Amino acid sequence: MRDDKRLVYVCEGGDCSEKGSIELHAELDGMLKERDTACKNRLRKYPCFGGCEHGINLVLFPDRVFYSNVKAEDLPEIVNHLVGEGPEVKRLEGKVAPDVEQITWDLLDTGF
Amino acid sequence: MALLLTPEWDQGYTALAKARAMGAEAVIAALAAADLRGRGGAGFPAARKWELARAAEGSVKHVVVNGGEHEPGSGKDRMLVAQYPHRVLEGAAICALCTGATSIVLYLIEDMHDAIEAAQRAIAEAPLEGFEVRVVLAPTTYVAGEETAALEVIEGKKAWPRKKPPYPGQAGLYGQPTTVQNVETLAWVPGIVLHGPDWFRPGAMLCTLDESFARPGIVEVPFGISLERLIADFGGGTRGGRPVKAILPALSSAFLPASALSLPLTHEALRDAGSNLGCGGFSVLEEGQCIVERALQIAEFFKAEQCGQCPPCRMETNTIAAVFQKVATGQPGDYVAQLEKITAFARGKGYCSLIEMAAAPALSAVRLFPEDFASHARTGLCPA
Repeated sequence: MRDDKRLVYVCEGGDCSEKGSIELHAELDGMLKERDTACKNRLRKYPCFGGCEHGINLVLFPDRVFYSNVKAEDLPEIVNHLVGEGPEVKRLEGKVAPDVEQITWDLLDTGF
Repeated sequence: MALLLTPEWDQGYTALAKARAMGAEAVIAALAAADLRGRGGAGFPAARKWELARAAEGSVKHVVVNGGEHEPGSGKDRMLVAQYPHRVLEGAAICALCTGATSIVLYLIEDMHDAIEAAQRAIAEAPLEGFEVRVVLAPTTYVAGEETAALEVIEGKKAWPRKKPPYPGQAGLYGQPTTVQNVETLAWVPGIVLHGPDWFRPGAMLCTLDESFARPGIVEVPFGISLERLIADFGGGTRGGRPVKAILPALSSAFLPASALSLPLTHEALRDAGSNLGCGGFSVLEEGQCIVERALQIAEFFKAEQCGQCPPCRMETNTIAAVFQKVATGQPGDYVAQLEKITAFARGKGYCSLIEMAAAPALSAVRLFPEDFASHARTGLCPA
């Protein structure tokens, strides 16, 4: 069931997990537990976003923000945005092909 | 009456001698008249493939006997090489003769020990002067059976499919024209050459019936018999004795409902019904068995076996498996839309047809058995 929380998806597909997405997810989870006191975000794993060559991919929904090449050092900025204390991290956006981004929104729109 | 699964002929290679006397054009015409099609799954006419290879320019050409039979539930190619190695070799030699190739590679999976030994013994025995014949072993990964992945392995590289075009007939092994032909397809060739196309027509194929049948095994089945007869006469019915709920002609084909039992076993009839004869690795689901569980097993297989080269394929296979996992554990949602969107996005993308192979059983399962999936998604329990 969808609620009003923002969904934060970290890709756990082959390439992304090889690049450390599982560890990045755990690190982000810890940071959100500490910083997201208003519980605005729900962190999830996603099977594969198809933007493999640009991983690690991290997606915000329903914001429709698609971050690519995410590294641990980007997390403080990302978390600042997630808790409403900073802007989107624009330098991480616009890397994947438009059709890959579109199918991501199409799939997430189904709410499943 | 069996045509192919008869005792191994003498090793005089009389069909090869006859093919030499007939000439390449007459042999290819005989294959066309017989309507021999590829038995690896695609069903491409053998005569057309040979014509293209014959017309291709190149001073060195190759024939690859594709025994990369990686589809679970299919065992016919291994059996043929293990028990009828000379028939396969003779078919390959006729192919080489007709396409202008001098090099023949038997591409066999590394764990097919009986077939590998039989092939090596037959190569030593065969009167194939003028041809260089060798065995190259394939890894056990699914994608290694794809024809261009086979070429990569033979060249000593990773088993990844190549981007096409160029097709192997134009630029295959080492960039030279190559005819990649399935083991069974080649095994039929000597008989057609010796006895003429009428001996073969309306044709037959080897089907592998899995453990879902009362009598599993490899059978030679004439084209045109009904699926009902295939299951009852050749397979002894379903293993549990209950009525058929669904038919899967191959792991990478779409499920067919019980109402398709009257369909004739032909490429066209199964294609018109939305499925595919594939390599004939048949499986059935009987009443009381869970389609969701079966669809999830297949999805997990393709997720594990996609080679990782093409992102859309990774995305699709991962998504299908994740969607079925959710349904199986009772998480309701619009799973049909998810499957339709991801498979539509992936269609035609990627270097090989695994994308379509993963989609066919998944989409057909949810479309044919919506109540089973809905009940699973609601309760996590199987209504079957």
